[in-house]
Amino acid sequence: MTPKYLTGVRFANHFGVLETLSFWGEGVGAGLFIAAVLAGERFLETAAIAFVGIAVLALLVHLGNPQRSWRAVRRVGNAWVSRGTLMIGLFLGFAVSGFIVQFIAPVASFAPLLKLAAFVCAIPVLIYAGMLLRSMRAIRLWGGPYLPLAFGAQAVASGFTVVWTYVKLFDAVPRPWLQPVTLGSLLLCAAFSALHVARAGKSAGVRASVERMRSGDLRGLFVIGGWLLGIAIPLAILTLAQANLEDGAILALVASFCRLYGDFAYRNAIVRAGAYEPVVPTAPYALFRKVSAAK
Amino acid sequence: MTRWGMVIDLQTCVGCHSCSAACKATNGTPPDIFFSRVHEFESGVYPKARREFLPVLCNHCQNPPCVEVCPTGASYQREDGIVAVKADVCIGCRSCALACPYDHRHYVEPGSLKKGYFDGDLTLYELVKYDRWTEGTVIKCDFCMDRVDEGLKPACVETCPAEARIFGDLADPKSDVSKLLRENESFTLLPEAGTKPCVYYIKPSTE
Repeated sequence: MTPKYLTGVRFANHFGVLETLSFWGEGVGAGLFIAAVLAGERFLETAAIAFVGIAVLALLVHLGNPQRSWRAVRRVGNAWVSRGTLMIGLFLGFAVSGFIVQFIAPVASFAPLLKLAAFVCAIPVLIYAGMLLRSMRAIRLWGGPYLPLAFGAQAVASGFTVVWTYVKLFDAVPRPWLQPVTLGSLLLCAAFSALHVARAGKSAGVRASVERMRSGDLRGLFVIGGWLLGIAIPLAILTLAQANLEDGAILALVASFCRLYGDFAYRNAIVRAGAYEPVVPTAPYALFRKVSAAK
Repeated sequence: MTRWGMVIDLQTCVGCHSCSAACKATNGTPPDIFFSRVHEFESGVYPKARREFLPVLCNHCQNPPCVEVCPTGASYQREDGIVAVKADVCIGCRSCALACPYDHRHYVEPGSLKKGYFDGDLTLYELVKYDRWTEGTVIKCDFCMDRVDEGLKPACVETCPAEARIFGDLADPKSDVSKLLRENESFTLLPEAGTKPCVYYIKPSTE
C-alpha cells in the first residue's frame, strides 16, 4: 500500500530534491546578491543572478505544464507561489537589466537604480520558500513564524559566507565590517533554525517529522549536513578568524562549501520531513487497528 | 443557495468497495489513482472482534486550503460548494496536493496516461476514459459534478448497495442529509484543520 492510502501520519512526497534545489537557489542567490551589493563585489552579483537562474530552471522542470508557467502570477493576492514567482521575476528582470545597462554608455546611469530595485526585490525572495511552505497548513512542521525566518537566515548566512571567502581570496581591499556581520548571520541562522524545530508543536505529524530528522533517514541531511557542516564548521572557522587564531584561505573555502551544502541539506531535510496529521484522530477510529498494519 | 454535501452512515457501510469501483469505472482515473477508497480497521478482541470501515473521498471543504494556495485559479469552488480543477489552467505545481490535509489530490505523472493497467497498449476503455485527463496536472473527486448538474447522484452514491452514502443539499433543512445529521451523532475528518468538510460520517456502533 502506498503512503497515500494510509490514515496515520503520512510524509508528504509531493516536493523533493528538485523543489529543494529551487528553494536553495532562490535563497542563496538573493542572500548573495544582498551581501555582494553591500560589499561592492560585482562578480558575485553576477554569480547571484546565476544561482536564481538555476532556481528558476529547477522550478520550471518541477512543473507538470511549464508552458503555462506564466499563469502562476494570477493570484498574487492569495497564493505564495504567485507572490514568489512575481518577486523572482522582478528580481531577475531588474538584476539582469542592471548588469546589461552598465555596459551601454547612453543608459549606464540607470544601472545603480536598477540594482537598487533588484536589491529591494531580493528581500522577499529570501523568505519566499519559507512563506510558501508555511502556507501549507496541513503540514504543521512548516507552520509558525520561524520557518520563513530560518530559511531567510540560512540564505543570508550563505550569501555573507561566500562574500567573506571571496574577499579573503581575491580582494585586497579590507572590509572590517564583513567578518563580524558574517559571524552574526551564522549565529542568527543557528538561532532561528533551532527555534523553528523547538517551537514547531507536539502534534503526531510534527513528532514524526522531528524524529525522522533527529534519528531517522534524514539524520544525515539535517544533523550532519544542516547543523554540523552548514552551521558548526563555518561558525568555528569564522570564530577562529575573528580571534585572529587562524586566517587561512583553504579554511575560508571550506567554510563556504560547507555552508552552501549545509544550506541545501537543511532545506532538503525540512521539505522531506513534512508530514500530514493522521486523518482519523477522532474516536472511535483512533482506538481501532488498521488492518494493513495488523497483518 | 445549494450546498452539496454527503453523509456516510458507518453503521450501514458493509465495506464492499462498490463506491471505489463505481468511481473508478465512471471517472476512469489513471493507474494508482482512486478518488474514493475504503479504509479497513479491526476493533475488539475475539470473540467480540469486529471489522470497521471508513470510506473516504474529497471533503469538498467550505474552507478549502487547496483553492487558497492555487497560484493560477485552476482550483476553484463552485457556488454550490463543489471543489474542482480546470485542467487547461493547472500548471502542475502540486501546491494544492501539499495543502490538502486529507491527501485527496492526485498528480497525473507525465507519461502515466500512455500506459494501461496491464503493461500493454491502452484498452479501448482506457483510450476513451483517459481523454478526460491531462498529464502533468492535478485531478480530484468533483462529486461527479456533470452527473449532479443533470440531476443525478454521484456514481459512488448511486451504486452503494447498503445505501450508506447519502448525497444532498446541506443548506436545505428538509433534505435527507440535513435530517440524518439532525437525528444522528456525526463527525468530520480532521475538524481541527479548520477546513469545514462537507462530508459527514454517522458514528459506527461500538457495541
